Amino acid sequence: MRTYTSEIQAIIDNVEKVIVGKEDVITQSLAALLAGGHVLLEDVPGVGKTMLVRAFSRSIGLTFKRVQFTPDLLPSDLTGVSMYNQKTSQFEYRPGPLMGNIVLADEINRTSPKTQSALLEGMAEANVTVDGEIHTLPNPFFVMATQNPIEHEGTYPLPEAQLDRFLVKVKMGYPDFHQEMKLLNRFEREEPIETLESVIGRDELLRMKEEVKAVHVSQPVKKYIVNLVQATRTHSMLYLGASPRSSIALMKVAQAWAYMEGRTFVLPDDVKHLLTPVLSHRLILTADARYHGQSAERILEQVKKEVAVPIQHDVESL
Amino acid sequence: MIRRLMWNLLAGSLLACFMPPLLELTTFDSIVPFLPMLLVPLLVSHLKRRWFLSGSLLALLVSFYFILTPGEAPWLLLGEIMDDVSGVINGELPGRPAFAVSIGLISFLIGYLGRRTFPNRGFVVGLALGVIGFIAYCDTWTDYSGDQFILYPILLALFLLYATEINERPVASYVRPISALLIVGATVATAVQSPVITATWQDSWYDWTDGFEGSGTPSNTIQKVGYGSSDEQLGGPFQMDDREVFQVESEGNRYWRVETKDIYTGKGWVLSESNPEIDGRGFFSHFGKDVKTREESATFKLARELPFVPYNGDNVRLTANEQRQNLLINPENQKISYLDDATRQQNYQIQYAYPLFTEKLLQTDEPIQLSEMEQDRYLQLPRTLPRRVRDLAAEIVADEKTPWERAKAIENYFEQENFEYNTEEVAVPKENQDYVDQFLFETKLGYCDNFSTSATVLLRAAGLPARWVKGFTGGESDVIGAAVTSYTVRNKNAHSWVEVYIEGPGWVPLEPTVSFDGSGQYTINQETNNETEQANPQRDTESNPETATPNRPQEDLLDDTQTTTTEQTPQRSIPVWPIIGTVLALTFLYLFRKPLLRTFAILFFRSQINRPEGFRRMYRYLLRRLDKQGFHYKDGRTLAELAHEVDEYYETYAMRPLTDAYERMIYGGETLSLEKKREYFENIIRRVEG
Repeated sequence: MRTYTSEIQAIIDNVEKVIVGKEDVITQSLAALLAGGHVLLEDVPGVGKTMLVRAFSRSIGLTFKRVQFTPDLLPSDLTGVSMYNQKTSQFEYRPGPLMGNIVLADEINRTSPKTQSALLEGMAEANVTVDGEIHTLPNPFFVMATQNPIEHEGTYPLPEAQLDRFLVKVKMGYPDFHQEMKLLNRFEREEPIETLESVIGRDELLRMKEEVKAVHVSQPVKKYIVNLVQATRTHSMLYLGASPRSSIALMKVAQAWAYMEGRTFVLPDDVKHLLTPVLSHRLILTADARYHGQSAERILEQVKKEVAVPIQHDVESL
Repeated sequence: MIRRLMWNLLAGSLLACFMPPLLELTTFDSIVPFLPMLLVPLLVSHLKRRWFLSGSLLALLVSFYFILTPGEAPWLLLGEIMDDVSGVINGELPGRPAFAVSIGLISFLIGYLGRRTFPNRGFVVGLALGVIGFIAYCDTWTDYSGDQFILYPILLALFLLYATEINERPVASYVRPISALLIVGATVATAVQSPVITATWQDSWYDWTDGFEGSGTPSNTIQKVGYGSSDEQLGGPFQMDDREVFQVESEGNRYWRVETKDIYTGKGWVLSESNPEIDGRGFFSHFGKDVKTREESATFKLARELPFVPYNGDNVRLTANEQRQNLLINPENQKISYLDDATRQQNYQIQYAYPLFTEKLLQTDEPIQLSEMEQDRYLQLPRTLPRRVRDLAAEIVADEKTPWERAKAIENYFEQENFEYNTEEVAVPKENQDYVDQFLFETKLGYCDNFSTSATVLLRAAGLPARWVKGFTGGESDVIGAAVTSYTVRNKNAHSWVEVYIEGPGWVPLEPTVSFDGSGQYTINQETNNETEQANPQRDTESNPETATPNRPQEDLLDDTQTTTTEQTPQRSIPVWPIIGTVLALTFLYLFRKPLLRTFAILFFRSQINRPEGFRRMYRYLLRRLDKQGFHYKDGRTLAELAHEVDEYYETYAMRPLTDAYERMIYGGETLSLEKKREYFENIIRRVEG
């Protein structure tokens, strides 16, 4: 059992009122939120992706926006448009759904690359450009995009360069028998999401994000991160390894994780624990590896076993 | 099952590869006693865990013993086994049937433990290395030539490795050290103590003893043909042996005579039929009545029991424990020994008449007045002696007038003709070749046996009665010049020389061997005084310090007889006790390595642990120890995971707090603030090394 600081534990408990038995998904998403990144949720419909995002926004007391991505969705549908106000004889900016704290981008791979890139620009730059004007997105700005891995008909799979912009990718997965029974019991008479109350506010979240940045990452841990990332680059079953951006991502999420566990420094355990969610969507397997039924997750497990954890400051070995 | 059987057969064949060198080199001449040694372990091994069958086999072995030795009390079995074990260690092969049972039981134990302990590749590799190493050792150091045979164990080992399944069985902690101890002990005992007849590592000691005690040779000795186990077959190389025979305090560096031999066979020397030894103040005289003698005495301190009395001159009397002792004197070969074995003395004093020859006496030309029988004996030459040897003798003495001059000419011949002194490249004569002929005309290289035998033969061929003498040279002394000096005589000082009979002076020693100071030249003092001393085989140290050089020849005594008695296992030059001591010490260290390591670690880190650097060192030490126990930190485990496993395994709560503190130091840059560090550390290290 992991232990978290009381604030984090409060959020987790709150979200778990709605989502049963998905602690990993919750904590990893939370870590991404604290690290200032975005989450890619990959799973089949109906496992509670939307519920998770809503529970998050409610728990933290943030505004929640949802966009259903469809093939005919235009970038301006996301970012908002400038409309001419006849009264003032001026163009006025009408904010789109991106102007929220937590945005659920549902089925992101269903829309055209053009629209996708509008979303990704917002995610990367924390602002959007409409008619040449730059509009800053609210702070915090946290996108949770979902992607259905089953249907391929009429989809536009995200290019690797864009997947790279998601800090973590999490998989919801089905609940087990007991979890599902619990779920049914809970939803028998009421909608728990409706009664969910916020446990921390926006200001606290911003403060926490600042505190995450102060978490210490020691040289051995950095070395471990680099070793892990480099191991993916030389791996025989990987066509494309992880980018330097993923090293940074890994470090940031690990910082957030250490913060959540109430530590002021990152442990290799944090890095190891977060390796799969942070890297799995950034790797491309070789055709051969795919043919043999390998997956990025499995390869990363292997990498974890191969890369030794640095256990002291200097380079010399034990 | 078939695979197992195959494995056992291969292993047995590999084990059997120990046999050929063992049979060739030891006095064991039959493979039969060793069969149980091979079969029982294989059987035991094959029976695997069928306790019933293993037990039956054991019972069968024991009952076999009782059938063979009816009427003995059961508890005697243990004693007998111990006897047999020590007998084998001492190189004795007891004739009793119980011996086979003992071997069987020991083999059972070894086989059982071996199977329990090393059923895997390590065992095969060890076995193969053992066999190959043993053959290589025998090939290098003994007569045995393994260059053909060594191929078999190598091939067998390869097959065996192929057939070996890695089959790690959990083994009780005490089994491994015990079997390791057994195997090491057996190997050491076999290597060191087995009754080996080594050609190049000769030990004159037991040849001497056997020569003396010929009649006492047990029936289970066998003859081995090889270089130098006998004077009957001279030739071949040998090595120096530095072991001490005795220390003697004497009035000068004397040669110590032991015995003579008279019959030259063409290959070596034998003694003509000898009369029973004569008890008593037995008397023989080497010297003529005109020879002046001087009474001398020498005090012997024997390094080990000698079955003969080394002496010099005539009229030898022996005093031990302040009592005159009776001696056995054999006038045939002038060998002196104790009358009673029980009174063999480690320290004694002898008095003897030391001869003082004069030039005048030696230069006599009197005709020889030996009895006909004596003349036959001392002029004997084999019929097979090549003609050219006689011709050479005639040629050497052609211009000499007196017998003494002729004798000196022969003595000096080797020096003049640049014969070479060498102990290593000495040839053995071929089947139809005469030993002397080979040396004189072909090799011209050899050691004292070659020189003395050739000189004796040449003297006889020249018509001078001569006999072949064995004994010791004077040995080495630390102090030179004192009136009475202590000399140390070693095996390497064993020597042979010649005595020639000249009517008047009697038997006069000659030293034909080159490189021996002055080669036996007599520096006859020409003083008018009749008392002039003659430096004879006895060279005074004062004048001849070379006798103390390590270059002494020593060979002769090495080869008195062909038999080696298993009873008389000599001390080898390999120090047995230090080896055993080392083995025991290592075993002790091995058995108690964990507590020792633990104590050491606890003491070592006790004071350090509170300093950050010391704590770090301690933690890393712990990691290394845990790594040995199978908790590997290098295969991607984080320290926390490792600590969790460790604590889980040892059911402790010690590794986690330590790891926590360590992590905070290493990853958090914090200084540590862990209470009870030492307790945690001791707790975990006790478990790890427990």
